[in-house]
Amino acid sequence: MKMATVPSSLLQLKAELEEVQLSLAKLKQKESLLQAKISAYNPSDNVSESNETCQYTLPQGLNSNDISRYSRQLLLPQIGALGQAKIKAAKVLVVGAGGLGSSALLYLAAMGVGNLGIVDFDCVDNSNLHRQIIHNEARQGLHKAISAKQSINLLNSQIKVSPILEQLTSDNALHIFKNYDIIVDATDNLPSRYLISDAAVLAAKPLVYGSALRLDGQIVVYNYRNGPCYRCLFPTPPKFDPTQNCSEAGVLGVVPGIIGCLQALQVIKIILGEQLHPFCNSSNSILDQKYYMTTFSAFGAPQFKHIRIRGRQPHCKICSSNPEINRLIDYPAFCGATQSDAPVMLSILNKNDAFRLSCLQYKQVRSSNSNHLLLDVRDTAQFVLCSLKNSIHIPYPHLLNLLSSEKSLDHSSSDFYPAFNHLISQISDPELPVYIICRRGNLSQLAVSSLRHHGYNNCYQIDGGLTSWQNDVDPSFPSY
Amino acid sequence: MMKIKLEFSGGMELLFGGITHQEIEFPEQYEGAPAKLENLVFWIKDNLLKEKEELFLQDNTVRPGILVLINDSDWELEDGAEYQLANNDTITFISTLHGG
Repeated sequence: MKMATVPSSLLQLKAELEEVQLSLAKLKQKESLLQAKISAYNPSDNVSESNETCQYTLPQGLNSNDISRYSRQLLLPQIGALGQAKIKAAKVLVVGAGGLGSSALLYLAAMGVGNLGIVDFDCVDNSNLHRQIIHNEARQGLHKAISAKQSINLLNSQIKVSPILEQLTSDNALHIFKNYDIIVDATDNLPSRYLISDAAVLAAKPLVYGSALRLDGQIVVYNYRNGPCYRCLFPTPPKFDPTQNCSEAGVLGVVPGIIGCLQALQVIKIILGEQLHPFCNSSNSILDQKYYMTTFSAFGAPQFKHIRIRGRQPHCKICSSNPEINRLIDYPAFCGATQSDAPVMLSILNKNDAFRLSCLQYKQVRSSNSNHLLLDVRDTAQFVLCSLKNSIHIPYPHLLNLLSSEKSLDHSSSDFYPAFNHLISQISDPELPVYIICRRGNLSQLAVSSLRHHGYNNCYQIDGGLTSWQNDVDPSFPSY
Repeated sequence: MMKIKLEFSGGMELLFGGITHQEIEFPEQYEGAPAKLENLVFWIKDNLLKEKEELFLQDNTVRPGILVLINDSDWELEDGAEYQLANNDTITFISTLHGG
């Protein structure tokens, strides 16, 4: 394109620009010369904070970015620069990147805890996301410890995060613990609880214990300032009850989140060397120390309670002055339970029992239109989520009660009496088999053996329950 | 008669038909002696427990994994099952949670 007459003002502007560019180049040259000179004075120092050019001083351990990033908590007299520097230097291990670990880790990272270890061997599942907010839909199938590291580094790139993709065991626990100052128990099962507590005692690290189930949560700091350990409170593990984990009993999403936040708070207080319950202690003497468990109940009134717990027990098997246990033991054997909250598979009926069939076999029964009854023995909360058409619904505990009071008169008050009556009126017909289904094939085995016990023998167990139905027959059936 | 407040939490309420709070009247004297917490525990088993006994008691005491509180304080800090009940006491049964 041919230019028309160029206005003189444009030429003037161009000349001015050239001049500025030239002086900029000169300044840049000068800048690099100065930087080289400064580095020669103190090569390891950060340039902008070097005494040579810097006209201000910073608190020890913090840089300029830290001051602005953490300004809102630095302003608190309880934290201050000294506290923030302690937080930055702290090394905290969080065992479990689930519901408790999610909020604990996010807040520890946000508040500036400089070094975080995360132990978790599990992977992100769709059913975790209502409570495990450190993960997200895009991370399904990814290791939780990796997913947690990614979220933490998006939030705060200055935090050093070490994901450990292993199950914590008696073999690796002490080796892992030795690199950290404080241990956070954010696991979901009893054997891990005892393992972590014993390892914290042997490694002499304070332990911040949190737990959550249904609408309730609990938090305790163990093994801190001569306080009790988990074994002091619970010397004997309770008999294993597979219904007491989140995958069976359920948990409201925000409940572990609240407990995880409280765990993060207790960690900060330990880092700062604060009294954990200053309002409860009149003096700092060890003899006067009082120890507390905080309990939370989402629908309770009051929601929070501080209950006073026993101190260190003189005869505790691990934390007393003359301990019986000097090294880590076999915790799954000690608790009679596996180290996960994965579902348990019962074997009540014989493996080769003729009255067992798979979901695929039951599908054929349904498609052949042969006459039969389908009895669903799940509890009501599960049954209403989804059930196969034409199921008779009697929850297992009700079935048990109705069977044992069959001959008495008081059974008619049960909500499930009409269904039970319908079942019993037809069950004696040898041409009418009863197929029994539940969530995973555990309760249905119990139901089959109870029915047999009462003389009803034409009952079939559907192996794997509705979980298998979803896996093998109809993937659109909801899994939960 | 004494007024005793009972509380069940941490899942203990499921053994008692979902009841979390209950106020009861309890005799001051029990079998000729001042009523102890142990007497109350067995009374609860006989009168309030809705589920299997082993979920509440084992070896004639409260089963492992349940904390018993006397007025919000661990019964180990008092006399445990031997504690002598007083009018207006609150006795709490709380089961340890290990989910997450």
